[in-house]
Amino acid sequence: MIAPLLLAAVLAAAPGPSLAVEGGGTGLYTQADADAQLVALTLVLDGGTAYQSAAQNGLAALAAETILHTKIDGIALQDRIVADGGTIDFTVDPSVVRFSIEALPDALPAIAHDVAQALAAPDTSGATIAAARAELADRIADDERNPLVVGLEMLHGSFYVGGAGQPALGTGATVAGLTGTDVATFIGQHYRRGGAFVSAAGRIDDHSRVAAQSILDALPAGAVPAAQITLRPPDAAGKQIIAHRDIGIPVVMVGFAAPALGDPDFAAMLVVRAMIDRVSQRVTSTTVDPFERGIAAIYDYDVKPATFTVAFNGGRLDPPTAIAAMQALLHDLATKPLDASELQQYRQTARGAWALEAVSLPDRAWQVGAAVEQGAAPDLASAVGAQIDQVSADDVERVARTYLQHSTIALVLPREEE
Amino acid sequence: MAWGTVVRVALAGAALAAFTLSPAVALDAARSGRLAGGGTYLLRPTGGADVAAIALWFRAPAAGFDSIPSPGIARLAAEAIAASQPITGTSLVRFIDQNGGRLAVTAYPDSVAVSTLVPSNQANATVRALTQAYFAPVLTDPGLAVAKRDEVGEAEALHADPESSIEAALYGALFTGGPAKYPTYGDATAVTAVTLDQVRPFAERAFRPSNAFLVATGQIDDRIVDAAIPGRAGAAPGPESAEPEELASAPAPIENHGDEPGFGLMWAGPPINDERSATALDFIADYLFSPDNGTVQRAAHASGSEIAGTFVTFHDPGVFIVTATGGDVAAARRAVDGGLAAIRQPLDAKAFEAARRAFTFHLLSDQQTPSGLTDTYGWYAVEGDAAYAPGEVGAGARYWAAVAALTPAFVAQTATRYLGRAGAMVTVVASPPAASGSS
Repeated sequence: MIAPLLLAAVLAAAPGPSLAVEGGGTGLYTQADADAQLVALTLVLDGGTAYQSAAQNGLAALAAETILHTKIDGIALQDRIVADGGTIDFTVDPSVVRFSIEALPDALPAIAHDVAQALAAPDTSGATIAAARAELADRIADDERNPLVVGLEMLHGSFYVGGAGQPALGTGATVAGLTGTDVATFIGQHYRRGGAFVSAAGRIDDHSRVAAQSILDALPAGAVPAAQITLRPPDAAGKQIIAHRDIGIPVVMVGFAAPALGDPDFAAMLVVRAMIDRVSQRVTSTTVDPFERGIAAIYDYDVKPATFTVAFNGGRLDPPTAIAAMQALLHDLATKPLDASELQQYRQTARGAWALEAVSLPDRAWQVGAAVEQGAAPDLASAVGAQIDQVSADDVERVARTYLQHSTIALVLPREEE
Repeated sequence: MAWGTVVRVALAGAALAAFTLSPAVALDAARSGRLAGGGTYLLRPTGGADVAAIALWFRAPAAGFDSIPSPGIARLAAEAIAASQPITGTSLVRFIDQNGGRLAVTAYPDSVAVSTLVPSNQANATVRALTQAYFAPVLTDPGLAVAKRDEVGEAEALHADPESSIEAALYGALFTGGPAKYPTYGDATAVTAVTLDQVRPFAERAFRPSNAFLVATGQIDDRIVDAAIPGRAGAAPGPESAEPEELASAPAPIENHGDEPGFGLMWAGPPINDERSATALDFIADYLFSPDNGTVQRAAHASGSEIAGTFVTFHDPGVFIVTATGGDVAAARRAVDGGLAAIRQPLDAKAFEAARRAFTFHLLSDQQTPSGLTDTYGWYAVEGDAAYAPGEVGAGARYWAAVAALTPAFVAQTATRYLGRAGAMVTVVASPPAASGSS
């Protein structure tokens, strides 16, 4: 029998702004959107790379991958979720691991039940660990082919002390040495109720709230010590680190410390990002990714301390010339106030770029979670636009002076240039 | 990969079993009407992020209107307009960029889309800028020069992409005439030689207000339509008609050489107004080739091949495309053939419902953003069946009704009817590595 026809969700109210965030008392933050047809959740656990020892590079990622491969009634969690009408994935940061779920609303109860079961009883058998390791190796190989990811990880390794500076997914060699016991111990120590929370966006009703809450409630009680994320002292001379990869063009990345989301300087830094994204004078007929134009600013603001990286596309411009131009720009920013019309233009651009920052449901759920993680109001993102409007020339000058004078340079070169 | 993109957006969206619904209210459906200059507007306000996705779609052959095709001219003209700076004001691309927004131009065999994503407080200004740019186009030599450089660069990148090369060869094999025969990117030499005197007549005919679909979704309201300019005096009335396509009766297999091995298969499918069959082919493409759970993808995982399969819902006919590149293409071919053979038999009820559920999720995920929704509406409108767009989610929504009405038997029959007959085939043989220098 064909089930009742789904004619897609009906809206009881007129569409309108739906960025308000509710909840939080029980660790569940929701951004309901009556227009949405799906629901996205981000489960945030204190299980990032900062909790890894030097010998455990990749353990946080392998633990997360193991959850995805944990079998429930003989079927891996990720496959069960696909069959139910959803997807699951994860990302690893220095302080946290984030499981991101996107699903049909009516599938959420079953998915939540399965996720809770996998978290409570992860399958660390040899076969599951092998499958998790293999899939993680594919992810690592993909990242190794992306010079921007390689450069960012080189810079993170230079910026952060200890595990926080290790590659987010580990390396093929280090992951190969990790065992099921390592994974089980890591999960037992870090996948705990303590600081965990869920941020959700989309078609949220009482059923989905109950389902999302059930994931949190199934976690074992207990707190996790706060992650120790420490910046190395900056090198005023501008340290250079070099790596070679199977890539077609050289990429140069200049990394700086930066204010995190929620910091008073955050909005001003977004204005600086808008400026750097437009330093390249290459005229195009459509808007292209700034890196395709030659220069892009990559702002990792969802970790504290945060980082700001300027990436130069060696296929589009001569890096030494471009770096010199960037350094001159940053020097000017730190010593000369922007004129009013320039400031207004870059504020406008920054505000528009911020509005486009998180549009999909998973991105919106992530954005709410990023604010919570930084100890800020969960709906902080909706206030950033107005904060950008208030950025002054003095603010830009101060931010440039405070954050953008000491850098580390990562050079990612094609292998044939070795 | 312009040709497949919108159809992948259009895939999925099947009705959900057990999803409790109440009858739709009018707010769910796109609001449509006539533009002052004679074209059509489609508005679909949504909640969520504070953005607006606004696009102009035009019915226009990618290779031009002339009897001698000029591949790439549609894209070139659209990009040249976006890059041209009028005497007063700024170019469209600069206007969008200054507001932190995004602008893209996509050419399909018989249509062109100019798409934007902007902060919602710039929605009205964007409608005005878009319609100003295209309904009364300004074309300059510098703008054309930028467009030429960009198109040549994009074409080079696509030619180097194995999947895109196979697709272009498939279209050339399956179609003996009509817009689908020709690539949407032109040859570098030909593009570089194009003059303003060649582009201008195309632009004036293609980008007429009466030939336009203005689509807007996101945080918008009905007043956005008032921001559209009526157009220019003397523009020809009435929309362009879809150019007829001519199919090869028995396409000859093609063998090419490339950096890596691969193959492609293509069949002609139903026209867009055969909604039941078109929906069934969308379902089949998702069931077999969805990246996360397609049965062919799972069967071919060990091959290392990149496999893609999609149904493109053109006006008439649609096309079903399968490509595989790299890895063990023989194993990939076995997986593809096995999947196509299996789908010609009815799935068991449980597997079918699970597949319909996954299909539903994939479509809803693809069109969850204003950009995805705008793409969907624009595509189905320009191809002649706006009411069939999967973005329509209220009571009577035709795409969803068609998905809910799918049966295992009908899916199997459709697969047999369209995918069981001769189609176009391209094989790519890996070229041997170049010999090293002489001794």
